[in-house]
Order: sequence, then C-alpha cells, then structure tokens
Amino acid sequence: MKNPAFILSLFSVLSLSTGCQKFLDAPESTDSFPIDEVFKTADDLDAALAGVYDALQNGHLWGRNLLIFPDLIGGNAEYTGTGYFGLERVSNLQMQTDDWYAENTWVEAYKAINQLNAILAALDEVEKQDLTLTPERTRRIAGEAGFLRGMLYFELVRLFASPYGENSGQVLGVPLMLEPILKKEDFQYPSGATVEEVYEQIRKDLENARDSLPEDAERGRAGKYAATACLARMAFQQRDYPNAMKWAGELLDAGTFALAPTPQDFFVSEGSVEEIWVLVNTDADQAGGVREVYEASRIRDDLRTAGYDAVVTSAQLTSIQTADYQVVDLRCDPGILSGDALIWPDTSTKKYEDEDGGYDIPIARLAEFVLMQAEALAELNGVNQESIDLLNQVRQRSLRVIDTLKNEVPNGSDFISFKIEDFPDVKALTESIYRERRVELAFEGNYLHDLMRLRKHVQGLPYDDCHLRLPIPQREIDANGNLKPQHPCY
Amino acid sequence: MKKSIASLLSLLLLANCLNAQTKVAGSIRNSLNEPLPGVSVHVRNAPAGTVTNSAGQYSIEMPPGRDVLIFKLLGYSIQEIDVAGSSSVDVVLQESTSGLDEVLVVGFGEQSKRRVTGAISSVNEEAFENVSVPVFQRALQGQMPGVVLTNASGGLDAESIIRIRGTGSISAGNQPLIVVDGLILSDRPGSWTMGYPTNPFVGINANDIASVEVLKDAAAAAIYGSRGSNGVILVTTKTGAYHRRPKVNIGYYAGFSEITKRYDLLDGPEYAALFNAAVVSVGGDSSWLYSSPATEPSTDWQDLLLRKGFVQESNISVSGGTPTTKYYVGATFRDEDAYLRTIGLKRYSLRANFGQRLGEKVSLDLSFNPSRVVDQRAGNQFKGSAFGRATWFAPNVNPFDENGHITRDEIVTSNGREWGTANPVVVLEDQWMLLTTSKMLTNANLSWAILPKLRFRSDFGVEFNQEVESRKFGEATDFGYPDGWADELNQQVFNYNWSNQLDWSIYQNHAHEMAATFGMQLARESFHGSYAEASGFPDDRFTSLGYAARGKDANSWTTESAFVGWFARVNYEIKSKYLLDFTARYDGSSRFGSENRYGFFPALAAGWILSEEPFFKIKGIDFLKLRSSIGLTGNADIGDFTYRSSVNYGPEYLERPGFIIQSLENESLTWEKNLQWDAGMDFGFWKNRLHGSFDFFIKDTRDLLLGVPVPATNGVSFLTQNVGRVRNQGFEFLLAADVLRGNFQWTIQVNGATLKNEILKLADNDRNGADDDFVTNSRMLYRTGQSIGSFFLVEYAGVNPANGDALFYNLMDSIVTTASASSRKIVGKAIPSFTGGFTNTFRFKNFDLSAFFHFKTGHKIYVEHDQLYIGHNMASNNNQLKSQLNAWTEANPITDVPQARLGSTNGSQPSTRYLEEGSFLRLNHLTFGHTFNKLGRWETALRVFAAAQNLLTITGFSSPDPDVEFYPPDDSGQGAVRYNLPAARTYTFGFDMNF
Repeated sequence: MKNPAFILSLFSVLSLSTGCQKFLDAPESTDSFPIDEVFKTADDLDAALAGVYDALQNGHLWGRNLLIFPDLIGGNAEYTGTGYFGLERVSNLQMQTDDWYAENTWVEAYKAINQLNAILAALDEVEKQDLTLTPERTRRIAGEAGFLRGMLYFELVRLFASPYGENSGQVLGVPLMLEPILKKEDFQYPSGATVEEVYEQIRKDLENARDSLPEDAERGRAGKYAATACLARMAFQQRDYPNAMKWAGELLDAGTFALAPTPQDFFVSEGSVEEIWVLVNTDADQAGGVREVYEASRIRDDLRTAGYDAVVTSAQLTSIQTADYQVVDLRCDPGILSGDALIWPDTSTKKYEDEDGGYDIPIARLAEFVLMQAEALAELNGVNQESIDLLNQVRQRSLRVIDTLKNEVPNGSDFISFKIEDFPDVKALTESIYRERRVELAFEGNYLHDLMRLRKHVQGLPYDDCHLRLPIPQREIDANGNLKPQHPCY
Repeated sequence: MKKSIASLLSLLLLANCLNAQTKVAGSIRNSLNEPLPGVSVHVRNAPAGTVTNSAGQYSIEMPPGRDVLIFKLLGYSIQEIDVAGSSSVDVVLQESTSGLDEVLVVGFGEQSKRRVTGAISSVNEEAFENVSVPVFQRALQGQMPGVVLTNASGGLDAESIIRIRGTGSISAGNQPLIVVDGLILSDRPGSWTMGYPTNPFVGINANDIASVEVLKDAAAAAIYGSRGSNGVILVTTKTGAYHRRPKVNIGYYAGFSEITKRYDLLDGPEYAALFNAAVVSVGGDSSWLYSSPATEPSTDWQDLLLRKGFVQESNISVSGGTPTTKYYVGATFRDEDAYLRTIGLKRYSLRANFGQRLGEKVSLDLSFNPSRVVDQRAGNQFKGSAFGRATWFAPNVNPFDENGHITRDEIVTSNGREWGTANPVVVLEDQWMLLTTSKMLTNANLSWAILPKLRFRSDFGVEFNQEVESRKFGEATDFGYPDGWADELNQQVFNYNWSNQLDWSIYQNHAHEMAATFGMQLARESFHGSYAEASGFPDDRFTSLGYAARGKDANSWTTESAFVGWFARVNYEIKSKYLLDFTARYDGSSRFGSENRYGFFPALAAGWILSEEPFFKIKGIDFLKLRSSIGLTGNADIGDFTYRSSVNYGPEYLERPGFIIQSLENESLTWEKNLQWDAGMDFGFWKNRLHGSFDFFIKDTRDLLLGVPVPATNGVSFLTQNVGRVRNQGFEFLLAADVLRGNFQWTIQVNGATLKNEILKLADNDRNGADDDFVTNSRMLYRTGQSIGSFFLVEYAGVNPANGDALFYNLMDSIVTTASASSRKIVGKAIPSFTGGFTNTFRFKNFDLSAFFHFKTGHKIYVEHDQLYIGHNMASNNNQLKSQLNAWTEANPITDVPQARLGSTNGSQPSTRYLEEGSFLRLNHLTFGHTFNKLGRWETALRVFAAAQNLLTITGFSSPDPDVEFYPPDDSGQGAVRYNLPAARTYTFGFDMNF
C-alpha cells in the first residue's frame, strides 16, 4: 500500500483545504465594528455622541433611574408594583450592595463617560484628517461631550457620595475617569476622587461647555443654556448662592424662556416656552420605564400633607373660603378645570403621559430656576420682594381661585400670592420656596437633592445617613481592590 | 475533488493487477442464515486479507504454507478455521454475547468495545424504551458515569444542562458537542425568553436513536479538536439492514402526570395573622391590620394553576432491506399536556434513513429527519411567572366573581391593600406563548471501497433549525396592560458540515493490525434572528402583530462562524493484546483572533488486554484490559467575534444613528485547552456475570476563556481573556452484574462518578501579584484554590431569643446583627461531588420489572425565591411558606426564623439561611412489563408495560425539586433555584409490537 496512489489520494483530500484561510475569514460581523474603525471622522464623532444621548435615555439613566431615585428615596412616592423587581427596596431604603438599579446606573453612567472621553480624546486627530470638522463643529462636539460628562458626574456624585458639605475635600466621591479606555492595557483601578474634586471637574466641564455651545442648539441637544442650567443647579447644590443666582439669572434674563401659561404645557407640548433642555423621545426610542414605575407607585401621604395641601397656607385658605371661593391646584387636582392634573391625588404622576406615549424626558425647565433665583436671593438678602414675586409667579400659574360656578375669579391671584408681611423671617420664606419646589418639581428627580442641600431629614433619617445614598456596587468593589465601600451601612 | 477521483481510479486499476495463488472462497452467514457482509477475512500470520461482499461472499488467495483463516465481524465471535485443502469454506458466525465485540461509534469511525482505549460511555436504544421524555437528553440522566444532567426546569421544553467530567470553563460554554450521525449540531441555545432557554434538540425523536456514545476523555474526543473538551455526545440513529425482511415496530403509550412537589404555603387565615404580627412589630399603620384574621377567606393559587397532565406518544417504524437497499422509516407523534394548565407540547417527527449500494464498492446513504415541535409555554424562573406568582400572591382573597369566573380586576384584600398586579390565574390564562421549532437534519454519505483495505468516505450534513416564538399578553396582565402587548421572535440556524476521509486498513494479520483514518472537515454556521413587538390590540383574541395600533420596536441580527479541521487517527494492535492509538486534529476557527487562529490537538492512548496474556489465564477472569490516555482538546464555545473590540450600532438619537462602545479587543483570544489524562480498566468476570469499567481522570483546562469582571469605571464591565486554569479530577465506575441467571433473572447496573473541581489559576488584572478573586451575583466566588461556583455568603447565626433579630457571624465569628458583604466567606459549592445511578432489573418468564434510581450529593443549592419572596418572615406582604409561621414571637423565643417585620429586612439578607444541602436520591423510573411472544401468523412480539417516572425523591432539600437549576449555570443563577418548575411525576401505560 505504500504506493503513490495512496499518497495522491491523501493529497487530494488535503487539497480540499486550499482556500481554508478564505473559508475562515468569510464569516463577517455585520452587526458591529471594531473600535479602531470608528472615531475617524467628524460624522463618527457625531454618531458617537448620538450613541451617548441614546444611552442617557436608557432606563438606568434619565430614562428612569435618575428621575425616580430622588423621589423614591426622598419619600415622595413608594413603589408598590411588581414589574420592577426589587424597586420597592429603593423606596424603603433597603438597598443592598448588589442593588440592581444602583449597579446599572453606575455601569451605564461610566460606559457613557468612557465614550465621551473617547470623543474628547479623538478630536485633535480627527481635526487633522477630516476637513468637515470645522472649528465651529469641533467646539460644539467638545462642548456637548464635556457637558454630558459633567452632567453624568453630577448625578453620580450626588447619588453615590456624601452630600456636598464642609468636609467634601476629604470625603471620597466617585472615581473620576477622564481618559478613554480603549484596550485592556488602558485599564485603571481608581480609588476615587474627593467630592470636592468631582465637583471641581463638573464645574470645569460645564463652564467649558457653556462657552462652546451654541445658544440655538437643535431641540433635544445640549446648548449653551442647558450648560448654564446645570451650572446653576450645581452651585445651588453646593449652597453657593451667589453663583446659583448668577446662572439662574442668566436663564431668566435670556429672553428665550418663560413660564408656560399652565403647568401642563411643558409636559404635553413639544418645544414649550418653558423648556431649557429635554431628551427627546421619538418613535424610534423605547421609553426607559419612568412612566411604568410611577404608574405602579403610590404617593406618600407626606407629599400631600406637607406638600400639596400645605402650599396654600391656612390663612389664604380661610380668606378664600370666606369669599365662598375654592382654590384649585392645576398640578394635582384632577380635572376640575379643563386639562388633566399632573398628579392624581392617590396614585401617580401624569408628567410622563404625553398623548402619543412618546413623552420627552424633562431635564431642565424654567420653573426650577425661577424658584432657585427666589431662594438664592432670599439666602443672600433675607426677606425681599423680588424673591416673593418670583415665588408668586410660579404659584399664580397653578393655583386658581374659582367661584361656585367654576369660573375663575378675576383677582384670584391675590388670594394665593404671598406678601412681604407673610414672612416674619427669612426661614419662613425659604421654607415656602422649598415647599413650592417640592410640589412643582415632584417626580422630576429633584426632591432628595433639595433635602440634602437643606440638610433636612429624609424619611425620618438625618440627611447624611448612609442609607440615603446608593451603595457603590458590590461588583465594583469586588472587581477593584482600590475602591473601598465608603458607606458604613453597606 | 476531481483530482482526487482521478487518483483513486488509478489506484483501482493497480489493484486489479495482483497475481493469484491457491484460492479459497465461500459465504458467511449468521445463525439466522442471513448473509453477513463486511466480515473481515484474513490469513493467519500473513498480510493477505479481504472482506465479504453484500451477499456475504468472500474469496481469498492463500499464500504458500499458510492455511488458517480468521473471520472477524464486530458483534460476532471471532472464528479461526483451518482451510487446508479446501477451496470452498462456508462459515456461520455466532453473535457475541460478551458485549465486548459490541461496536462503539467513535467519531469518524467505529471500534469494538474490546479494543477501545479511550473513555467512552454508551447506552443503546433500550435506554429510551418505555421512558416518557419530552426531550431525548433527559433519558440519559444518571445512566452513564461522569455524565451529569440537570434540567433548567421541569418544563417540557427546558434545556438540559449536561456536564461531562465536571465544569472546565467559567465563561465559555460547558455544554458538550452533540453530533447526530456525524453532523455536528449547532451549539446555540434555544429561544430564551420567559426565564429559561428552550431545548434546541427537542425535535430529535428518542425512538429513532439506536445508540448514544459519550466521548469523555481526550483520546476519544481529540478527533473533534477545538470543540471536544466538554465531551462529545454521538447520537446514532437506527438504520435498516441489507438482506433483511421488513420489520415493523408499533408502539404507543399514554399516561398522566402531576407535579412532584408543591410549595407548602400559608392559607388565608395564617397569612393574615402573620401579616398582622409583622405590622404590629414595626409599629405600622393600624389601618392595615386584618380585623379578624381567622375569618379571612383562603385560596390555594397552586390548585388553580395545576392539573393532571396527560401524555401520549405513538410511534411506528419499518426497517429492512433488499440486497442493494436498506431503509429505516420512523414516525412519531407526541402530545403532552403538562401539569401546569395551558402548557403543552406536540412533536411530529419523521426520520427516513436509506442506504443504496452502487455496485460492489460504492454505497450511498441518505437520511432525512424533519420535525416540528409546537410548544405552548409559560414562563418560570422569575417572580412574575404564573407559577412564581402562585406562591407569593395573597391567599386571603376570593378570586371568583359572582359568575364563578376568575376575576380580572385588581385584587384587594380586606384590609384595603391593593395588589396592583394581575393574579396568577390571569397571568397563566391571558399570556399566550407559542414556540414552534422546525428542524431538518439531512445527511448524505458516500462510501467507496477503493481497495479492499482502503475506503473513501464523504459526509455532508445539514442542520436547519427555525424557531418562531409568538407571545401575546392580554390587557389584564402586567406586561399587556392596558391594551395588550405582543411580540414575535424568529431565529434561524443554518449549519453544514462536510467531511472527507480515507480509512486505510494498513495491515491486518494475527500478530499486527494497523488501521488509520485521515480526513478533513469544514463546518459553517450562520444564524439570523429577527424580532418585532407591538401593542394596542383591539381585542385580547388578536395575536398577530399587524392588528396592533402601535409598533414599538423591530430588530434583526445575524452572525456566522466557520471551522476547518484536519484529523488523523492511527490504531495499532499487536497480538490482540497491546493497543496503541494516536489521534490528532489541526483546527482553525473564525471565532478566534488572527494571532491564534489555528490549534493542534493530539492524543495518545495505550491499552493492554491482560486477559490475553498466557501468564494471566486466571479462572473467572474472561476479560481484563488496562488503558490509559493523554491528550489535548479545545473549547471554542465563546460566541462569534468575541476577540474583536466592538462598537454596536443601533443606538440613535433624534432618529440619527449612533454607536456605543461595547467591548474591547483581544486579538490573542483563542480556545481553551484541555489537557486530560485518563487511566482505566475494562473487565468481565465469571462468564461476564460481572462486567464493567473503572476510570480515573485529571482534566486541566488551561487558558480559560474568562469573562473577567473589570471595574465598570473603565466603560466595560467584563473582558474576555485566556487566563486561568481549572482542574477537574474524579473516579468513575460502571458495574453490571447478572446476579441471577436462568428462569428468574436479576441484573444490577450501577454507575457513579466523583468529582473534585478546583481553580488553579485566575487573572491578575490589577497586577498586584496575586490572582484576582471575582464574584458574580454577589454570592458566587471564583478564587484560586477553590471549586468553581463556591458559595460566598454571610453565615447565618439564627435568631436573638431576646428580641427576634436575625443574627449573623462576622469574619471573627462574633455574632452581629448586620450581614455585611465584607463578612462573606466560602460556605459550600454548587458542583456535586458524587453522582450516579443504579438499575435493578428482574425477569421472570415473560415478566420484567426494572427500577432506576439516580442521585447527586455533595453540593448545595441556594433557594433564591425563599430569600427574595416567600421565606423572609413577611418582610413584604408576599404570602410565605408554612415554615415562616415559626417566626420569633415573645411566646416563641427559640427559633431560627426571625421576627416578622413588614417592610424591613430582618434576616432576608443573602446568607446561609437560604443555602441548603442539595443531595437527593430519586426513583427516576420504574417499569413493569409483560411480553407475549409469537402471536398470530406474523409471530408478533407484543409487550405491554406500565411505567412511572420520578415516583419518589428522597432529599432534605426543602424546595420542590433539587434536580433543577437556573440556566445558564455559569452565570447569575449558578447553584440556585428560583421558581424553577419541578419535575413531573408521570404514570404511563403502553404497548410495543414487533413483527
């Protein structure tokens, strides 16, 4: 058998294998590309930005979690449904270190941050290669990327770290990642930056963004005023009232924004005059679930008793009733006047029930900054008429006094407007503003942050109690030996 | 290809030029006087040899001075005949009874059991007879040592998790390769919605299976190279036989099934009382209290979901052959309604295997196996599934309206609490999920005996699998609220293999025998899926997406992979007692980075048949073989394109496309390598009254494909790398004994396997010089020196008798009230250390009785549904297990159930409180039958039987079923149960008719 025929036939079997390399190379992944094939052109960078915006709409970021954590933990509402397993632990302050919601918020936020870092790092190189990347476009892309990074760090540091305060220079905040990680050699095992350092970075990012971004950005994208709004919010959170006033003032004076005639307007009509920045949901987007969460949540009694029911003082109420009138809060009374209320008294919010279901995600609207300006002024100047006027503006558009025939009373706003003599001291004024903020901004991801800023108790716990913070994910501590759990609770 | 045919033709011409000497010819038949083709005939102490043709005839030239002929055929006893002076010798070969000449399928060939040097376990068709299984793998449970099967659920269609010789991989797949008649099936799991994946092989009909061989060690599996390291399951289907009159088999059975064990839950009054206690203990709102717990109504939701299941299966097959054609045609219809209402499965399958001789030397085999499975599903393994819901939903309600129908309104308990979610019956009835799996397996095989000793084979096989899953959630369900929601998933796998090989019997005489196989194989798989969903249906009865008002999402995806391999096997045998085998495969795959695209997988095995030695002629020892092997195999089951970094397109903003970075590159990514050493022994004593085998193995998986968790601050949470090493070692045995022979027969078959799993090395990504531990799901630890899947939990220390607080141990073994993550320690492992099964079979006259048990021990199971929902002493308003009635009260201070406190965590932190021993012994099946022989004019053999499955389970495990597990077991759910459907207890009656 040791004849050539055998060798030949063996060879022929093997010869089938010519072209095997081709055979192995043939399968192609048409569903994804390697990293080094993107980040090459200006269009790539815009696509990368679109990817980040999309990630922000994700349920773990503004699609749901970032909007519900402050209200569930703060105690405006309690999740009672079953669709979101374990979410009741968030509202009952029973989170554990493997909390699914906290973990995914962390993971998704840093995923977006990494891509923003990659965009920022690629700009120089792309500018040399791609002529379509004009200086103007560069500024916009850098501005948007920096802005979004600042926003994400702001949310992370507020939710995961100790509240901003005197010792923020010593207390660990969250890890600051500013360089892209694109291959495994880039991996970092950060131990975390202090709260102060994180805030400083946010300030830098937002100020750069404010300087670079156009005033007339496309609806849904970050523009100059979105950056201003976040700067105001950050200064406010730091109790830096002069800066809060400066930035809030810029928004009030921009001439672009105004309070809409009704509180519903912003939530139901696209491009409301009150809108500073929203994440736009189109037909192509899947809702992140904030609506479903609130549909299955119940309002805590406290939001009613210390919120809606207390917005109109007993003195005001008495004078209204004496005149045989009735007061209606368009934000919470269902349908007495035309239009749906934003809050049903005992279930949930209608803020996410746009008619077509594709509600936009509210991030910044003017009412917040009107109230911010009022409070900052009061903190700086004591009881003052300007603060009271600003507060009254917000009240007047929602609180309507009606007669027995349900017609609006012409001078109704007098009944519910505050006067300077209503406030014996500045504390009384700031409390009224705080209460108004709670009602006005309920279910928009604000309440917990106000409580932290004002150092009030949260669900009966002192503001700096660690149960009020999201646990740094156990998977993160397990994967990163340098990161220590900074919360004694977990 | 053309070139090869030409060269083979030239070879043929050469063969005809051989000269002639004394010639002996004759025919060979079996005891039934049927001609035996393929019998090897050779001359003792000379190289000359031939094989019989299709009519069983041979003709051979005797060299001068040689006059003994040896006749060999697998499955028959060897005959040596002195043919001196004769020119015509007819031989009758006796079928071998020792089992040692039984043929084993070994991958690209066959071997007799006697001469196999690798570790191969096998079962034949009997393993599938009288066993009612919806999927064929389940019949293998506990049948073969070292082949451990766990079901992802007791659901009819659930994936079977098979581990051969332990768990070698952490992040890559651990499922063995499944090969049907030479066709490597896709390793892609089935449709994966509603909590668990379905079994993609559900269409394979157990009645068509002639044998299943499991290649366990490297010597056996190396021929499958980069895909062999999880072991290989070779399924061989039935064929006809040339020269055989038609044989008809008709079988039918029917029976009923029920749940093996239910949850033992509180009734309405008990629930209300415990709820009140939980409210009072936290000083809760007194308006929540039930005013009169004892008079609360009671509903057993499990009762409303369960039923008596029904199963029937009918099967008919015809096989036989003419001198030039053979055929097997089998058809089966199975119809099963599970014990959970609304779910059921119907399977239609047809298999047609044909063989055609094209002349003396060439034969062509074709087989077709279309099947269709229609599977009405329900979810399980999550809280919102109907079955899960039945455990935690309020029991103290009346779910019926005035007309006696289940209410679709929101359930409100008498204390005014709204349940805000659909009740279990609505979830079961108003969720409609239909998975249709259509599968087509096709094989074409050409075999050409170019020369008496050289055969060329070409095998082409195609697998086509389509799964269409349609789901519809009615208005009253959580998913479907408020106006119905539906989706449709469509997945297609197309996979083909083409292999070409030469089998060369290099020489064959009494002293030496050498055979070799060389070949190559191409494999290509493509996968395409699409998905669409819609909502807003005018009526609950509509299921097609087109009737919905809103379409919300559509998606499709596609991927491909390719493998190419060259393989060789050389078997050498000296004097029928010294065996030496070499196997190797050189394999390439598109799944790996360009730097590491090809790998070489060799294996060497040796055997020594001691009982053939003159000095070892010990009375009683019929057969004794020692064998050992060492070799390398690979695991390529890591998904396609994992080596590449990727950004995924699909994100968009303002309807403009965007992308997001998904994973980072690792061009050096390659297969896991598995170095395995095996030493074993096969034996038969006392006329084979006792026979069996022992094996010891050490299997080291190197270059583990590890999805190492990395800090998510890097933008990715995992990186797949080739780092780490895992060792599995164990001892396996199989013993079969005919305790009694004669009129009353009693046979025992026992198998068992021990397993020790240890991680030898892991990644050191933070470069601190020590291997990084990593933890998945906060409770499964991977640490060098420990078993894969070690439970990493805080140790529960019981209840403080003074105040009802749950207590835990910290790392200093002090008792504390907090279950801090930093107090976690290793408290057990999820992988059983000893598994196996045993069968007792009794035969008296025409009656037979057989009982098969299987067992697993040495592992723990985490009962996640207890922790999260129903065993947490009323931390939420969920219904609880009866065991929670033992919660601490002032009157009941000594207990291990902490005080019930509504809305607070008291002992329901993850801890060893929820970790239980998983050991069990289960009476897997019990069969009683009677056979009537030679009935009527066709001499029909009729067997009637009654069988029961899962009749009895002996275990200390508290939850319904210790033999189910989350899937995938290497991911979040490892070692845990969470509302897995328990196995069914099934009683069937049937008959089997052969004529």
